[in-house]
Parts: sequence; C-alpha cells; structure tokens
Amino acid sequence: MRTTIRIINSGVGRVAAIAATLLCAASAAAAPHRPGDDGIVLERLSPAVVALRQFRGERATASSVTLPDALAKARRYIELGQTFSDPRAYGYAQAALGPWWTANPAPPQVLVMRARILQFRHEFDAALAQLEPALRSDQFDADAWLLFANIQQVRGNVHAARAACLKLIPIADPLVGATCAASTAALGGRSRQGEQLLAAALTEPTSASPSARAWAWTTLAETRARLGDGAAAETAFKQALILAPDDVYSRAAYADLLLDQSRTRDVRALLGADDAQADATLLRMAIAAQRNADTDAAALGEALSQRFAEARARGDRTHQREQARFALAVQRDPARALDLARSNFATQREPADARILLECAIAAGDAQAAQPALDWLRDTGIEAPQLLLLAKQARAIENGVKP
Amino acid sequence: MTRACLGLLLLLIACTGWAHKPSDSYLVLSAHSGDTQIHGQWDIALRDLDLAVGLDADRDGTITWGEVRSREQDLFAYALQRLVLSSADTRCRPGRGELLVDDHSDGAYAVLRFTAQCPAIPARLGVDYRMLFDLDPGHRGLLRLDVDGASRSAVLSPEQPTQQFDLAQASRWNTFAQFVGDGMHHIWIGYDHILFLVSLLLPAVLIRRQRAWMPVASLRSALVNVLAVVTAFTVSHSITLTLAALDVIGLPSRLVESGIALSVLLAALNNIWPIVTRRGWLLAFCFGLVHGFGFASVLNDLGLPRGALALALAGFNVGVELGQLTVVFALVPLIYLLRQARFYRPGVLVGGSSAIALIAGIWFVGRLLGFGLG
Repeated sequence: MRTTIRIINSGVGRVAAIAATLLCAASAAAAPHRPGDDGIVLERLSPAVVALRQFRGERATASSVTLPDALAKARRYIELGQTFSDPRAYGYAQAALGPWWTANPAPPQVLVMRARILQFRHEFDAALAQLEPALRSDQFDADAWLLFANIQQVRGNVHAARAACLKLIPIADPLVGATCAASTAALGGRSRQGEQLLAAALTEPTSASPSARAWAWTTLAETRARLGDGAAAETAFKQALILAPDDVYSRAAYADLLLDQSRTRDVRALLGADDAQADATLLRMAIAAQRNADTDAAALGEALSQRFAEARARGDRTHQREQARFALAVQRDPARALDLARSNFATQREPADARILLECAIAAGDAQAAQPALDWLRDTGIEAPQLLLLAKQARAIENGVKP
Repeated sequence: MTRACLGLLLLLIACTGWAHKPSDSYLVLSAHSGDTQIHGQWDIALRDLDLAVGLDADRDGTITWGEVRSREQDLFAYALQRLVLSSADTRCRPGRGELLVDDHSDGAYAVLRFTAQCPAIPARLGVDYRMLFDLDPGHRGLLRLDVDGASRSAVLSPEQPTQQFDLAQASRWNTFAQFVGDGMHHIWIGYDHILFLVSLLLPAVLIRRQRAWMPVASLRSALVNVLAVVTAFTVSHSITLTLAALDVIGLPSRLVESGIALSVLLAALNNIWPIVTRRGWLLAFCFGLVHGFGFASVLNDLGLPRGALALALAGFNVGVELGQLTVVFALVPLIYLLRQARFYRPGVLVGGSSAIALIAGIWFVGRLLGFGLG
C-alpha cells in the first residue's frame, strides 16, 4: 500500500489521496448503520495488522509458554510497533510477557522489555526504575544502556545520559556509540564536536542495522539544524530517509527544518497521505497547510483536533508537545498552548520541548512561564542560535519590552 | 469513468490509512430513573474483534459486512460475556439488540446495541469491564453513562476494570429539574389555578373607596397588592401541598377539585359584588389552602421517587411558583396600564369576572356531581 501511495505521491493524485484520507476521518462521526450488502468492505487491514495477526497465528501453536518464547514474542511485537508506529503492538507485547509483566523479582531481559513498553507510553520514571536494576545485574547489555541514555536525554538529564553513553561505547557498534555520544554532546554545549564525531563515524564501514544508521543520520541532521546549518542538515535528513523512508520521527524532524526555512510547499511535498496516520506528521502537514492557506487546511486541523480529543478521552498525555504546537500555531490559542507546553516540560526536556515552551510563553507574554526553559538552557549550555534568540525574547518580556 | 475509478481507488487506499491510535472501545449506557432496563451501545474496532474472534474468514486482509454479519451471535456472546452490569451486586440480564457498523478516526467499528434488565431500579450501577485486556493491556473502555440526560464518563482499564455509579446521586439535580418542569406545566395547563389568580389580580390595580373601584395612584401600591396576594397564595398552598404530599392530611379528590372550582367562583363573584376588598391577600390565603391539596394530588399522580421525596416536593413547588410568576408578569403590566381606561372596571373587572364566575360555576357543579366537566 505504501508503494502504491508513493507512485501517486505527486500532483493531483497526492491531493486527492489526502482529501480521501480526511474524508475517511471526517466520516468518523457517521451514524451507526446496517450495510445493505454482504460484499461491502468495511475495513482493509493495514500491513501492520496483517503482520501482527500472522505473527500471532504462528505463535498460537506453541503450547507451553517459556520465558525465551515470551521475550521473543514481545520483542517482535515491539519491532512491528516501531516499524508501523502502531500503539496496539506495545499492548500485544505486554500481553506476550504474560505473568512476567508483573513478576518480582524479574530477570534483567524482562525488566528491559518492560522499560521499552513503558518508555513508549512516556512513563519515563517507571521505565528508568525497571532499567536500573537490570543494568546493575547485566552491565554489558548495550540495548539497555542505549534505552537508558535515550530516556535520560528525553528527561533532560544530560549528565546521566552522557554517563550511559560512556558505558555503551565499548560494548556497542561504533556508530551506535558515536550517535549516543554526539547527541548528548550536542545538549552539553559541544555541538560542533558531536557533529564532527558523528559525521566521521558515518563515513566508516559499519555493521549497524539500517534503522541504527538512519537514527545516526537523523541525529546528525538535528544537530546541524540546531547549529543553524540548514543545507547540511537537509543532506543528512535525506540520507536518513533513504535508509528508513517511513520513519515518522525523521520525517517530522525534516518537516520542522523546512518549516523553519518557510518552505511550506516543500513540507506538503514531503508529507503525503500516509503521513496523516501519525499525529506528529499530521501536525506538520496542518501547520504547513495553514501557512499556505491550502484548501485542506481546515480539514487537516479538524482531523488533528479530533485525534487529540480522543487521546484526552482515554487519559493519554503522551502528545502534549504536539498539542501545544497545534494550539499555538493552528488554533492560535496561546493561553491553552502555554498550559500544555508547561505540563509537557515537566516530563520531557529536549530542545524541542524548551522551544515550544519559550514560544508559548512569548506568545502569551508570560515571562515566569518561560523560566524553567531558560534555566534548562543555562544549565545545559546548549548551542542553538534559534533557541538562544527565543530565550532573549522571553527575557525581554520580563523586562517589560514587548517582543 | 477512469477518473471516477481512480477516485474510488484512492478512497479505498486512503481508508486503510487510518490514524494509528491505541485500542479503545466506546461504551454508552443509558438509564432512566424509575426504569429497570438499561440500554447500551458498544462500539468496538473491527480490527480488535478480528484479533479476538477472527472476522476475516477468507484471510484476504479485508473485512466485509458479510464476514461480520455471519459472526453476529459470536460477537454479542464475546462482548456481553466480558461486560457485567449489576444493580446492588445482582447481575442485570443482558439482551442482544441490533448489530450495526460505524466509522471512527482509526477505522471501522462494530456497533453492538443491547439491553440489561436489572432486578430492581438500580440505585447503584456496577460496571465490570473485561474485554480485550487479555490480548492488549493497553486497551481502554471509554464509558459514558447517561442518566436522565445527564452524562458521566469513566475510563476502564486493566488497573481499574470496575466502576460504581450512584444513580440516585447522579439524577438528583435532574429529579429536581424534572419536578420544576412538572410544576410549571401544571399551572399552565390548569386553568382553574390561572383563573383564580386572575380573579385575585384584576382588582389589585384598583382601590375600593366609597363603595366604588378607583384606579390606584402609583405602581407601588399596585405592586404591594400583587405581592401580598401572590405571597399569601404561595404560603398557603405550600403548607397544604407539603402536608398532603407527606400524607399528614388527606382529602377526597372530588372535594378538593370542587373546592378549587368554588374558590374561583367566589373570588370572581367578590370582584362583581365586593365583600372582601382591602384584604385580597386573605382571600388568596384561605382559598390557597384548597389549591395546595390540588397540587398534591397531581404530584402524587406523577409518582414520587422514594428517597427523593423532599427534592421532588421542593422542585414541584418551585415550578408552581415559577408558573404562577409568569402569569403575574404577563397580566400585571397590562392591567396596570389599562386601569384608568373607561372600560376597565365594567368591561375587564366585572365582565371578565362574570365570565370566570360562569366557568367556575359549571366546574363546581360538574366536579361536585362527578360529571367530569374540566
């Protein structure tokens, strides 16, 4: 299906496909009905669902559930979940762990698997609480160290993240170690060194998986983008997308670079109908459409607003950063956006989280609200011209100067 | 033609591009106070049901209506076994309703309509939800409970699969509001009460001097009269309404109904041949007692909710007062403006009162003799 979309991913076909997607989304409020004909197709299961079902079917024959079997199942579900960015897969992974989900004490591999699922749900503290004992009993689990570093970085604990990377470097593939080190270096005021290290590592032959290589390119691209080196960042994003064309994170980050360069038409060209599935990419589409005054701008905004409403209904608070951006850029509601950005910054402290908090605080004219982000910028010493400019504007409101 | 086909193809392709979203089901339960049956509608994603019971019989990656319809029995059995509704710890018996389909933002859903027959009117409704948690612990049941039009919601999860709802509590405000409405309605359709009020209010814009009606000089004195009449009527009918509703005093309904008709007749006649002139409020108070019994019998017919008697009584009374105030607000400005007109005294006061007296006389005789006229 993805290839079909790619073929028609230009011109009229693309616009029609997006319109059709939104039509499907808009029909979400359709009334319950009883179809007249047995042949009517109600649902076409996506490749993700078919893959998950197939895997489940194969595994159903296994009679006794052993720990290695449960772990293998959970791992496979998580892989499928990552590939297709499908939250249900993480639930299946949890179910696959069966009694080991709650077992105490639990073997280190189980703890790491639980942490992976918890991290996906943005339950960062709970995930770290699983990883700590796991790493104490097995210091040579590179995946666990990488996960630990990632979570610490998301939480804004740069020092802890750097320490984890140092543990990782001797035991992981050099490219993976370099990526970990470069991303924490960039947060610690050594962006240039990190960028050079990673760029050099990417020229070496590597046995790292395509997804690990794509991640390295994306990290390089983001570092360059923060340093204000747009052209070099774009080259790196393109490399990442060659390796992992469907990666939602990379596509969204690339779209952000284009948005910062006011290349809204290019955002629309980059993100096609398939990208409307994930909230992160749909958000960038909606922002670009609004700035272009595209005909589908309202429909995109409406679709996203419905997604966020559904997430709130189930008590899901994992996408507050996106919700804040949506409230600020599309709904033009700085007060609401600021509430979301503050709440988000309490759990996530990456450059993008600091940026949205600063932007919302400036838009709302609330100097005090910007303070946590200003503190974070000072503590990390991050080199990012754009963030520093925002920080200057935020401090200006404090001094009574209207930005 | 080709273009249309392409459009359709795109639609089909795009419709597989549903949002990626965790698994949720949407469960709506509707209860009505005084009803032992609960109505339910449960929207469950087809992809979740496919996982649970296997809908895609030919394994072609699509789910057709035929495939869903042929498993109708299994779908209801699967779902209704995993949802227990109970009233005071006794299970409400589930009954299947229609199977429909609907679309949500992440795909097509089966819509299962059902009923649950509880052994008694549920004061506490228990919801025990166990669907899909074994296959996907990330699944959530998003529950909305509607009681007499007021909604409450809950998220059911493996950590919190059960919920208790205090239905009496939930509908407290609704009970009150409902009885306010009933009280107002009763005033508006009960011409006897309106005519009684009109009879008492018509002379409120006049003053009796030297055996003749004169217009009052100021709005203030008219309003004092109106206020006195309305307050006296309210106080007196509230007393008897409360006593009768609480079964402290009981009068035969024929006597009450005839008494009300008689009160209208006497009030109207008093405008034509005045006896009580300065103290209209006294008339309102004495006859108001009879009207209170009338209100009580209506309230009784409405079926008083046990456990919310005082609330219903208060609500009904508030409704009666509101209904009565609308009559006052509609009538008083008009008669105040007309009070000095040449025709007001002979035409409106005497003429109107005569017409009222005639109607009330017919009611009185009819009700007393049980003819059922009004």
